[in-house]
Amino acid sequence: MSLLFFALMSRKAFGKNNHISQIIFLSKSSILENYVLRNGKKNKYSLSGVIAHETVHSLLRNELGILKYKLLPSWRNEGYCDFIANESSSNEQKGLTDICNDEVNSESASFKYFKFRKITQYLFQDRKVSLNKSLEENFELEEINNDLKKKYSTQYGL
Amino acid sequence: MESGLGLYASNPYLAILIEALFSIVVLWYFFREEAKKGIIRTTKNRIANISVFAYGIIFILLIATKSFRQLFSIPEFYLGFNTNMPTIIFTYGAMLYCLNYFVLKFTLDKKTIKKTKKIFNWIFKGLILSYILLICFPHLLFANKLEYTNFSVYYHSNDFNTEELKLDLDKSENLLKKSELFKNGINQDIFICSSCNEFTFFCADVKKSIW
Repeated sequence: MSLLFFALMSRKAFGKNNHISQIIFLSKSSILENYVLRNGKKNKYSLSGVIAHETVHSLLRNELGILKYKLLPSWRNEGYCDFIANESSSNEQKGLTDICNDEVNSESASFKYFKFRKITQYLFQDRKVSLNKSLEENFELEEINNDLKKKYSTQYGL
Repeated sequence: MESGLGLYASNPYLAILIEALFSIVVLWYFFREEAKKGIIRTTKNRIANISVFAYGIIFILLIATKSFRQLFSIPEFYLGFNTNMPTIIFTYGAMLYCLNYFVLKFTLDKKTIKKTKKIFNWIFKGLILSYILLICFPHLLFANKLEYTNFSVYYHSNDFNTEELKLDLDKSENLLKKSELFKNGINQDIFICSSCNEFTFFCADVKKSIW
């Protein structure tokens, strides 16, 4: 019962990378069915995806050093991790529709992460930006957002 | 991390019976020790003391198998945090207040108060330090370990299907190969928690992360 005390805040994560000791903690998982469960919510994500996502955090920290890593904006950090894990908490179709429609209500954490992944994907695949550039260069996020809207509107007729 | 017998989940009435028996023994011991010291209690005061414990038992009995939400048909709502712990803290706080009100007061001299505060201070610091050490070195708490390619996976259950786990790790590695940062590989320690509460014990600071 005392463990419930520690559950007061952490209800939305599948995994966590402890940046100081560089170890990954995963929530309750099913090895057989390759998924991780999230506390408080019934949804689940692939175990391999969560491991990949959290390991990329370690790789980024090793590459940049802890200070630079901590100062990295979350769109670059989480966007790159989600891009490598090739998975998001947000529904793909709904996420794309929300990007195209500029939905104000879509500013949920999972949509933000989805958008970060799409921005990173766009930089790597469409603009052919290198990893170093994507981590260091200043980008106009407003301009990228408009490019994404155009891209998905045309691609999916949204 | 398994703690206790888990009877509140598997057999709540047996768990409450154990609590009731424990309360009776504690009360009996308390009254006996006080009687030895020559402290005489009135029957009314004794009943009040026993009532506090009886209230706790009745309260838990009421919600043994059905929550208050179900009993009073309260609709689902989410306050943004787990309400179990504040409810328990409030209940025990109220019980402590009642006990403090009914039990005869005793006074401590300044020296003893200072000493007690010092002891509590050290206990508190010790607990914080132990928690930090556990988060940084949780290896001791996990019974099993699997070393495979770039990963060292720690887990509890002996029934873990390691072959399936290897397949999952292979999938992760295939994803990681897309990253140029992975060219030199990595030695990554992974701890698989057996419950969501255990996970939050180790990651109490996770507030907004969706991963």
